[in-house]
Formats: sequence, structure tokens, C-alpha cells
Amino acid sequence: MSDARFDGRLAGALPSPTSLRERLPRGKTLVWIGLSIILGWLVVVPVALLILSSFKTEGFPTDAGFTLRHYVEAYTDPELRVVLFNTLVFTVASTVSAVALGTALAWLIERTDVPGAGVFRVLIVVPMATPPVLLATAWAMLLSPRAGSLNLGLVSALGLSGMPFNIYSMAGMVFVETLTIIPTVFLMLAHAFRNADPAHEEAAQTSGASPWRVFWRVTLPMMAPAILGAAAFVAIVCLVVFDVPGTLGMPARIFVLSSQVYYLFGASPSGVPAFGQISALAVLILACLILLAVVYQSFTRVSSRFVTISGKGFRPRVKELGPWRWVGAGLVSAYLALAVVLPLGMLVWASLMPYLTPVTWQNLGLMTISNHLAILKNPMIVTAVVNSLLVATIASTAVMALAGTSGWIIVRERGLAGRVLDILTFVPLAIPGVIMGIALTYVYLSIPVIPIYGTIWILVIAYTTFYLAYGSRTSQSAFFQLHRDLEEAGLASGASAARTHLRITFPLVFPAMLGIWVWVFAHVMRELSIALMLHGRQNVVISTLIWNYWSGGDPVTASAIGVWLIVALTLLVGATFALTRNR
Amino acid sequence: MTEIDRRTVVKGLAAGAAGLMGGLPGPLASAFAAEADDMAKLVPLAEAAVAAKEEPAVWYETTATDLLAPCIATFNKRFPKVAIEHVRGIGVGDMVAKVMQEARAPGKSADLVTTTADQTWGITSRDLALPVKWTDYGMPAKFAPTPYSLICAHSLFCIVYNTSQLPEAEAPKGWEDLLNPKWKGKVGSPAFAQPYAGLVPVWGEPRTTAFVEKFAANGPVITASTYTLAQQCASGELLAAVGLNWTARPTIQRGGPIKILFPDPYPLSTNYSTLPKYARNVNSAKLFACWLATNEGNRAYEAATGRGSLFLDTETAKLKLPTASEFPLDEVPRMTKLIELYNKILRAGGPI
Repeated sequence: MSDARFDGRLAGALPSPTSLRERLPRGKTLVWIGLSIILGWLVVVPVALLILSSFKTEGFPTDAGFTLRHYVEAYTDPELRVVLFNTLVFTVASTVSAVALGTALAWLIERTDVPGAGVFRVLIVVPMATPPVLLATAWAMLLSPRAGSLNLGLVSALGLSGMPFNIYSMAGMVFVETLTIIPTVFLMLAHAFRNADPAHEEAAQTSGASPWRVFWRVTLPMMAPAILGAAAFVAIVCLVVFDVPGTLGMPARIFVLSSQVYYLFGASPSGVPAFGQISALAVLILACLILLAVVYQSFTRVSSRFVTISGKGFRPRVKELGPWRWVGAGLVSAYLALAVVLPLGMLVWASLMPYLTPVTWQNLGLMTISNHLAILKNPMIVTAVVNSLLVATIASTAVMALAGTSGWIIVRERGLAGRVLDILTFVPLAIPGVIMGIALTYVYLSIPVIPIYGTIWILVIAYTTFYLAYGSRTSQSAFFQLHRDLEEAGLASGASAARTHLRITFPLVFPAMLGIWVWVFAHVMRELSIALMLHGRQNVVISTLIWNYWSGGDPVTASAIGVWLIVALTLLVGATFALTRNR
Repeated sequence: MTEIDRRTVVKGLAAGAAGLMGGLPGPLASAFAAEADDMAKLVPLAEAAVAAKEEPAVWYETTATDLLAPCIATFNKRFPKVAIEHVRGIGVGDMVAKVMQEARAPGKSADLVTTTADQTWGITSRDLALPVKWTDYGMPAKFAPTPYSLICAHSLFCIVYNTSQLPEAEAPKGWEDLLNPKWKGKVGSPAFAQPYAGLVPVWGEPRTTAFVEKFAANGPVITASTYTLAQQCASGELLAAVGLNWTARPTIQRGGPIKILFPDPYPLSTNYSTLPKYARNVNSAKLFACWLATNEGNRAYEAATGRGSLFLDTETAKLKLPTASEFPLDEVPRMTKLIELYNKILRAGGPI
């Protein structure tokens, strides 16, 4: 604690330094124990079952005996080398491009005078509301090599001899995945950019540094934990994501780890999916993830380097771009055109067609609203909407609470306790949805006193676990920016730890926490693989309804639900940003 | 069973079914129809279910629940006091996995599972199925090739093609046409090789393997779902694709410019209803499985899913079909091994 911050009036009311030191650790310890128990149950159980399954004969934790067969089969498969190379290319390219573009967009919108920043801030997260399988399909309809509407348009407009783009390629996969991930990067970084104290940048400028040098030497290092956290998170997401590689890579036989997992799920020589091999591959993903987490931890060890909110008041400085602000607006608009306007337009088009068909004048005559009316006639729609809202609200609130509390301890307690929590909150991301489904099915079938199998509560638990990683990364980056002096000033003034957090810490990180809530809410609303694996008698949700249409040969009605889901989530995101605009 | 024996049996079965569908009821067909319509033999099951105060029987099946609701409603018109609750399986082994897990853990769920031969075999080979004497409830013996499972419906593999880009004369007529270099990159295939393995009972392994290798080398676009393939044909993205009759149906019903043709031979996949050993609502589950195998039940099921039985008075049975090719249940292990091999060939884009 900095003595310079105490004035005489405050010092007179101070409890002794000893009691301060005692009060905080005791509270932290209790919270740590409570969190460890909850996270242990949520995270350790499925991870332990995942590892156990990889050594079991048929890949179920209850199988008799142990075997290394799955590791031998999975890792000696000659295809694996190609799969790993593809995965590396896909992950690195998508991560680098998404983090670079997401960072640029966050900086432009939060720290510059780019025109229309308020509208951009809402629109930029719209792709987050789009189920990735629909986004990938929309792009397939736009850039497929034979009937892609955009391809056809370009051929016609430019008089080309052949289709200029093929979305069924590695470049196509990276392109669409980048569009999908950018909103997440933006949300993870926007808060950090918004709250960055400009004092350091101003000091550098005063010392004669050029704007470019200030950006590289001051702004970027100051944002390092947030950017690294986002990069680590995005890298893992790209490692496990299936929708885009499955839709755009598999037709061209480009397999990555996630599509390999899907492939093993579908290839069932023994009548059941190859769960053992899936688990063995997931262990590799888990190892990569822990490695990433350790690298991230070592980089952010000296957390005080990244503090940007201290007790001193400041107003975030907006950089004036001059005429370049229109270039900035053009860049953001280009992203929005690619990530929102074109695919959403394609989805709207599909939702008005009787079957998937290219955009042509001739096909305008096929237009119908019957797909939208079909949704209303579906007897399960009300149940699905209510269930989705309940699951998303409860899970996002739980993630916010757990991630907020654990993030605070991880940042404030840099020892083993913090590291354990950090790893615990990060590893669920490495568990493929199918494995998470199997693990939770087994756990809750085995415990009849917790009868949640087939109910919405098993989904709440699964999503709370799965999305903890995002919540944890984001909350940590918010707490990294918060100087501990602020909390200690509250404690020093005689406030209890709870009151200090309620009145000081929480209001300061509220926008970040709300960002977590919105992100998790939107992702739960659209998530599919876990919902399908845990689908039971009483827990139909919107994403499974979309899947019902999609897998039932009715992608146009699936597109119609997707359009309404996007509209609803866009309104939610817009309202959230309006709520936090002045915070 | 030798190759010729098997072919004879399969052809005989298809011929019997064709006789039934062609409005020429032979002795086999009329026997099936008469037995399958005998609802009186199902009444005791309904009474037993009511007497035992059974809860709704949980039915695992891969169709969307809302699509199956009319089918269950038709059942409830006939048996209003017996309740059925559908839970959707996502396919590809998921239901077997759930049955295995449910069998080992204290919590139970499924009372009836309707699925493909390989998944049915996955349940029965692990001793997880309840034996039932289906003939006691008026079911023809042919409907129950083993004591564990009752035939519910048939899926027919076919070739789907785009009619606006391919005039009838240019459309593929059979499997060999798909090997023509002019189709390179313009034909779709399911990522999993069930239809090709399904050719082996008629073609034999060497010929089928050679075909799959040449087909894979011709660069088919592979997609997980045959629904998607039908849609891609309709949009013009693909000119033709290997598909299933019932997954092409929704696109055809919506006016999509596609047609299906059944190559000779066409791979046939039978769906079975099976009770898990741990089923709690046994009478309700048996009743529903039997009802699905009646003309009334099967037509309702077909209207919901597109899958009907070739042995009953259904739309599927009215199709004009060439030679069927299917592995019998006891050869499923061999079939799955072949699927595994052909999956790899498809993925590698040629011989491995």
C-alpha cells in the first residue's frame, strides 16, 4: 500500500495494519475454498472422466479394465500428421487475424473519434448472435465454387471466366472463423481500451515520442494482458471449434482436430462412437491449453505493470484521427459488411425461399413467408424459447459470479492458489462438447438424488462450466487494470471486505462483468453440440430447434429462426451497451 | 452364407416387397398385411400398461420431436390411455452410447429405441436388449429376425440429381456413371460410407472396393448429412449426389429441382425397434413398437419421417425398385468394418 495516498484525516480512522492484513487473507481464503469446491465439482469431475475415458476399452468411464489402445490408434493414425498441420495453420491464422483485427476495431471504436462509434459498438457484436453453422452456411451460399451468389455476381459484373473464390478451402475456413471470432476479441478488449489511463501515453508524447512509438511502446504493452488473454482464449476456441471447419473444410477433405473428433464420433465400427480416441485426442487439446495458460501466467506475473485504473481520476483520451477517421469508419464498415450485412442478408434470403437457392431475379418469384409462419406453428417453440431464456440467464449469471470472484483472486493472489484457480477456470474449454455431454450424463445418471438428467439444469451446469474460461479471461483483464490501492483505501476507511467490493470494486468492473454476461448469454442461446448431447425429455432449447429443422432437411426454416434469434440478441446487446454507455 | 445364397435371399425379400407394393399381393404380402392390421392382439398390451399404471414410455429415435408429434397423436387416438414421450437421438451411435450409460448408472430413461441395424447391433451384442416374443402380439415372424428387435422401417439409398442443370438423358443412371471424369468435383457423397458398404452383399467385396476407390478418386464433395447433399443439388452447387429417399423428400416436396433414382442394386438399410433390458414401461413400449409395425402406425410414422416399411401398405412400398442389397443383422460387424475401410478411402480420395 502506498503511504503517500493517506492524508491525515484518513489515517486517523485507520485500523491497525495488522488487522488489515489479517482480515483480507481470511476472507480470501474462505472465498478460495468455496470457489475451489464449486470449480472442483464443475471442472475436475468432467476432466477426470475425460482422462479416465481415454484409457477405457470403449471410451466410457465405467468400462472394465484399462488400455492404451486409443492413444496408439489415435496417435499412430497416418492422417493425424496432416490433421495436426491443418489445425496449426487454421488456429494460428485465425487467431492472428482475429486478434489483430479485433484489437484494431476495439482501438478504433473505443479510443478514437471514428464517426458512428456508438452504432458500430452494437453492430460489431451481431455476428456473435449468429449460430456459426448458419454463418458458415451463409458464406457457402455466397462463395461456393459453383452456385455462390457473390461469386456469380462477380463473374457477371467483372466478366470473369471462372468463379473467383472457393469458400471450401483453408483460406475460406480462416476467413469465416475470423469473422466469427472478432466480436469476442472486441468484447474482451473494449473494456480494457475504454479504461486505459492515458497518463502513460501523454507522458511518452510529452517526452517527444512519435504517435507510432507511443502505440508500440506504451499503448500495446499496457494492453498486453488483455490482448494475450484474448489470444490465448481465441487460440483454444479455434482449436476446438467445429462448425466452420465442419461446414467448409470437410467437403474439401480438409480435416482439423475438431472435425477429426466429429469424424470419430460418426465413424462407429463397434456400434458406438470412438469415444476412447476422441478422449485421447482431447487430452492433447487439454495439454495445449494448459501450456497456453502457463505461458499466459508467466507473462502476466508482474501484474502491476498493467494497472491502468488507480485512485486518480481520469477521462479516457480519445485520439483524434483527423481525415483518417473516415478511413477508420470505412474499415469498421467493411468488417460489418462482411460479417453482418452479407451473411445476414443471405440468411434472410434463405428464410424467404422454399429451399436453398442462389440470389437471382428469377428466384424472387419463389419468395414466401411460410418458413417464418412455420416457426409460430411449431408446438415446441414456446417451450424452447422459455427454456433457452432460463438456461441462458442462469448460466450467464453463474459464469459472471464465478468468473468475477475467481478473476479477482487470481489477479490479487499470484501464488499457487491463484494459479490453481486460473487453470481450473480455463481447462473446460478443452473438453469437446460431446465429451462434456458424456461426462455429465454419466455423473448425473449416477446420482439419483440430483435428478437433473434430461432437464434444463444439466444444461445450466454444462454451460456454466464450458464458458467459465471466457469469463475468467475477461474478468482477469479487468482486474489487472484495477489498482489494489482502491480496495485497500476502502478497507482502510473501515469498510468491510464485502462492502468494499460492493461499493468500489464491483462498480468499476461492472461493464466488464456485463460484457461477460452478454457474451455468455448470446453463446448459450446459439450453442448446439452440448445441447444435443444433453438433450432429454424436458430441455428442448432454441438451438436444438434450429438443429431439428436443419437436420430434418429444412435449412430455410432454420435460417428463419436464426434471423429472429439474431434480431433478438442484437436488441439485447444494443440495450446492454446503451445501459453501460456512460459507465 | 455364400455370396450367391445371400443375393438370392435379398432378391427374394425385395421381390416379395415389390409384389406387395405393386398391388399384386402374393401369399407373403397378404399374410403380412393381415397380421399387421390385427389390432386386437395389441389390446392386452394396452390393458397391461394401464393396469401397471406405467409412466409415459420414453422413445429414443432420431427424428425431431415436433415432426413425430402427429405420429404419437395417431397412436393415442387408437390407445388413448398409453402415453409415449419422444426423445431425439442425434444419430451416429449417440443412442447406443446413452443406452450403455443408462444401463450402467442408477438413473434410467429409455424404454424403446428405434434405430439402424448397426446401432441395434450395438445394443443387442452388448446384451442390453430385452428379448420379446413379438409373434405373440400378432407380428409376422419376418418382422422380427431376432428375439430382440422388430422391423420398423426401411431407408433406401439412391442418387439425387439436379433436373434444371441435367436433362434426363444426361442424368446418371447407375453407380458406374458416377465414375465418369465429367462428374469430377460435381458429385456429392455422404462422409460416412454406409451406402457403399451396403453394395457388398450383391456386388461382393472386391468389386465394391474397386468402385469406392475409383469414386473417391473422382473427387466427390463429402458432407456429413444427406439432407445437405439434396439441398446442394437443388441449389445447383452439386449436379448429383448419393443420398437417401427420405432425406431428399423435404426438398422435393418444397419444389426443389431434384429427382431421385434408384440404381441397381440399391443399398437398403432397415430400422429396428428394440427395448433396452432396463426398460421400466415395458408394456407401453412393446405396444408402441408393435403399433409402428402395423399399417396404421407405419403410415403415420412414414408421414412424419419419410421412412416407411417395404413390407406394409406405405408410400415407400409403392416405389418401383430394382434389386435391394443389405447385410443381414448377424453380419453387421463385417459391415461396420467395411464402412471403416471405405470411410478412409473416401477421405483419402483414392486407394489406401
